[in-house]
Amino acid sequence: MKLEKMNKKELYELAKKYAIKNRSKMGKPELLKALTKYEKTVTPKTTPQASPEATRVTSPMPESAPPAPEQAIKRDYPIPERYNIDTVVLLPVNPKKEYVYWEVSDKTITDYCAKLNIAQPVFILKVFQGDEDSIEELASVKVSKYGNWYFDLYCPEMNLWAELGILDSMGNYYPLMASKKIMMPSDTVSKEIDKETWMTVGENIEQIFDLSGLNDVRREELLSSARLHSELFKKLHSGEGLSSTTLHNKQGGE
Amino acid sequence: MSNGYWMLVLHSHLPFVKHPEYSYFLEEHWFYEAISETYIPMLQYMKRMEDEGINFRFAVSVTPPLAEMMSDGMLMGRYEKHLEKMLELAEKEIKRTKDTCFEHLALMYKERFEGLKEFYYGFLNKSLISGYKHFLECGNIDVITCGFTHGFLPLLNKTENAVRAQIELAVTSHEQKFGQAPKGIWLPECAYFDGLDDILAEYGIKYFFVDTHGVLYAKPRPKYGVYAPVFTESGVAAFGRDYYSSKQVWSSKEGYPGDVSYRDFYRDIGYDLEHDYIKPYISPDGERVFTGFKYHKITGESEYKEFYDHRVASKKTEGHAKHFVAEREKQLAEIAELIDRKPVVVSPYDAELYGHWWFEGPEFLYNVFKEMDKSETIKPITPSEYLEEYQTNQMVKVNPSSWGDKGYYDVWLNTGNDWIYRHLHYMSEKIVDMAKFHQGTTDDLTRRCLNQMSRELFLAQSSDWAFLVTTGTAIDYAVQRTKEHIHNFLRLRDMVENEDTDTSFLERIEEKNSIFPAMDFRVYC
Repeated sequence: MKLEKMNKKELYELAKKYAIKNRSKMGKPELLKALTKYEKTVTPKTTPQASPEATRVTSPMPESAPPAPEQAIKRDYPIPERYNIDTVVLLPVNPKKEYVYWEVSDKTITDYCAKLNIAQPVFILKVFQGDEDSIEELASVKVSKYGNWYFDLYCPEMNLWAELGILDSMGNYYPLMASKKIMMPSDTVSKEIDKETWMTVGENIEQIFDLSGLNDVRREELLSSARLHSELFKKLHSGEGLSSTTLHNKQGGE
Repeated sequence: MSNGYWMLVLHSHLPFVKHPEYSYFLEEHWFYEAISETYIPMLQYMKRMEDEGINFRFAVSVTPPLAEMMSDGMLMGRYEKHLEKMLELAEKEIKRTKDTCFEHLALMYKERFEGLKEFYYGFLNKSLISGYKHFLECGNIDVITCGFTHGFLPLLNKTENAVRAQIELAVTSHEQKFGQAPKGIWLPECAYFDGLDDILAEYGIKYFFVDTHGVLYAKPRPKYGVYAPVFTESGVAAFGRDYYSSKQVWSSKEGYPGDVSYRDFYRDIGYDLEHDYIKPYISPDGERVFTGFKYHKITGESEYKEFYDHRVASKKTEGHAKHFVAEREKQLAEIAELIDRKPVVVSPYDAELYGHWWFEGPEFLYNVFKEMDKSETIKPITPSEYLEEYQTNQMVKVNPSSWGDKGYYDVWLNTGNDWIYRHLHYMSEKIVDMAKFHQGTTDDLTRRCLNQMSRELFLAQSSDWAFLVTTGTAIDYAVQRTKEHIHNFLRLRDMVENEDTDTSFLERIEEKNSIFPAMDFRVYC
């Protein structure tokens, strides 16, 4: 947003962000002047608060350790990067996206390296779907001993899980651990219609779904959460016109 | 005979923010503002409707962290001081604005704060909880609970105990505060995962809410769309959000709150007035903040703002309420022809929208109930009343979903906040192991450490932190709070494992992160 278009509150908050001195005693023109001067002299390489999309990487994203954006960290409460345990977890993001994180403990690595006679361990992360009768491997990637990965697997209503394994020097795969099975969400109306439905509402079901907003909800890509709308409300009141699409881009977080 | 029902659901929630270590803490003001702008005004209108004999029915969640803050002596004491300061500022404003065209606005604020004070010390007897209890006992409202610290349940579900503990303590603390077990729950962020219903059923929860597609994409297809609740396999009912009534309030284009006559949220004397004058009412370090004294109306899209006129805005709420009720009547008439029961339109909103964001919101709701009282075809209803009237409902598998942007879990799980879950999962597995190991402990320090570890885990689980990171508001605070609770948890873990407790540290965080004094770590056994 351009400085000229900001109200005093917004200018003030920006001045606070840039730590401009005497800001609380300044009127609107002085704030505007100070900020214009600041923006001319300082070309920020990163904005003080990186928006989520600024750090976004298209998935599957390169493997990385999980810490938050640098500038957001205050060092008062140090926390470990990992716990030296064996774990692999798959979490659904939406019907088309999954997040997996994992970690192999030093002990497990040492044990397997000795057992399989491996010098440099290679880890493989796999995603499966199905049940006991039919299991299908959906993805397989080479990874290091800990990290996280986003998959773009479109798997509505499927049971999904992740598995982490190790390769021996011959390229044989040995599974180490598996995540819990997760039922992925659906993004469409079910094809399954029970008998009772035909008996009670019959053909009206189409119209009932229409009145339930099925088509409208889809067109707007589902209404944003109430709390995101609170954010929208801010924009509305500060006079910055926003369409629902820019809102999605701005606040999608992905 | 009415055609059908309207079910308002207000979700009241704030994260547990308490900083006894500072005499002034900016984020604590979220709570004080919400009391003065939303919670008390809503209770005032409820009382007024009771006095005027207007039939009103709705469901309201008071989340456990919010209920804890409402019962916290230190925080409520600070709120009382805050209220006095606002009254003092109102007096000064009357002097300052004397014989100007906005003198009436200063007078309006004075009356407003005096009204709040009178109601708080009078009817409420310094207890907001008692206000909700009163209308609960009268049968006007269902007071429902939420996850104990508003944890995003689908993403905590690595360890079932973590989800179970969020529900178990929610039910226990709710019963303690409101005198009866909650019949329903507002799932944090409306977030559902397959299998959650079993846990809800175990704790006697009868109903919950999901977003529109939680019901519409259920399996098999729900025969009444979102116009009737469905049952999950475990017998818990799920109500689906009505899209159209949500849109009427939330839409940036057609939403009522954007009307030009309503009060502008951003113009506030905390930012507008001379620093020396306003200094005692903003942050003591001199930073400017909102005071709640706002003299302008939305006016239009430009930055130019005209003075606010409460009488005009008040009239507008009547018009909007009439429109809202008429639209719902039309909607019900259309759907009632197609189905063999009375349909229900479910309209959930964040409670804080009404009053905090949309200043005239509580008055709008009052007018909606007033208008509906005159209607022949639509009646307000609570979820318990509806389920009593219709005890048989179609059984389906509810679709995993949330009410967040895009409808699934994206807002709480993305590259900005995904790092949180590794820690939350580790902590919940660790506390389960330690709770089992130490469940018979007779050592007081061990017990206290484990109880505090449970509190720290619960506070870290609050979905607010991941949310704030995604929206980019208060991001530093959100990251720091998450890390603080993880850090405290790990430090306590080491103390227990090494049998070496730093009692001054323990005491300090027991006082600070004091949520639910009756915490018992064996909830994780």
